[in-house]
Amino acid sequence: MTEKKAAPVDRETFRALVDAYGSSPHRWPEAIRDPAVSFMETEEGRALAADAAQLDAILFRLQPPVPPAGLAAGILADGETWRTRRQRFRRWAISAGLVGIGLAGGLTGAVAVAVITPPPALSINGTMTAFGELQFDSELTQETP
Amino acid sequence: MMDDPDADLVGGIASGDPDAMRRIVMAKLPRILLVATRMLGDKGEAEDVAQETFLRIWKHAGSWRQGRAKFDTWAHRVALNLCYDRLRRRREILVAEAPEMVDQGPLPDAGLLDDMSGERVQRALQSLAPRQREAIILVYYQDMSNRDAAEVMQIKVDALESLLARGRRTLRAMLNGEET
Repeated sequence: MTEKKAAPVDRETFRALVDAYGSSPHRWPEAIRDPAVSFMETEEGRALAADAAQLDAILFRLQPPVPPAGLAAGILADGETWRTRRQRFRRWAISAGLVGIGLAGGLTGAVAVAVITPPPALSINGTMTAFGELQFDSELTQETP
Repeated sequence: MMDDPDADLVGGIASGDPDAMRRIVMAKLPRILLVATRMLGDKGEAEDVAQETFLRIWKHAGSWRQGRAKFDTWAHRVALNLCYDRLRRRREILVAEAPEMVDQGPLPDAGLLDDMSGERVQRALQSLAPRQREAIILVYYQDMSNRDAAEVMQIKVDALESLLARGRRTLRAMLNGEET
């Protein structure tokens, strides 16, 4: 009965078909529909279909529920709350992202400066500073004309 | 990639389009409510399930990907899972209160099939095994094809057919006053 091939339908196959899908051909699997419709035109087919149709009719005595007006409104209100919350979160995420990017940029800049700038070459005698070599008073005196 | 008639609407929901939200509620609420009402047999609980299903739709629309499952299939699965949660809770309460076997015999007012009210049909549906009930709801009340119904139920088409046939047989017996 599954949709494999359109084999001719015999009594047992037709019975299994209407047992599962009822008497309306529009519910029958497409692959078997045409031969099954042909079988339904036989006397046996008519009897089996009529029997299944009885239960079909009963199943449809149940009226579909009508959604109360407040339900759709409540669902849409939930959706609006969710939408607002998501937009707020997105804005927050964008701001946080910008701050993060700013911080990361600052940090990267600081690291780059530290890496690129050569360290001051200090002499091993301990008299070199970042502003040049220290001079002793005696040397200053000698240089003075 | 499968063609999903709801794909544009779901995309609209994901981008926060209120019109898409309204349209999906108009299109899907009656179907979701019908599934839940038939599964649970309780109007109030069914409405709660419908509301919870849509909450999940709002939350997950952004992460839903076309091609994995049709949106309608996914929404039905969500609603049915919520129904099963409630059925499980009911069973736990029943077991805690008084152990009882599910009676699949004829209904007390069973009789001629011609004289059948909607209420009796609903009671008979409620007496079916939940998976049989689910199969009947999807194929008969939701008018799903056998493939779509099997996909919602995450079973093969053969298994769906077996559930349908057993469900219909049991229903007929209950409504007709026969012993199953």
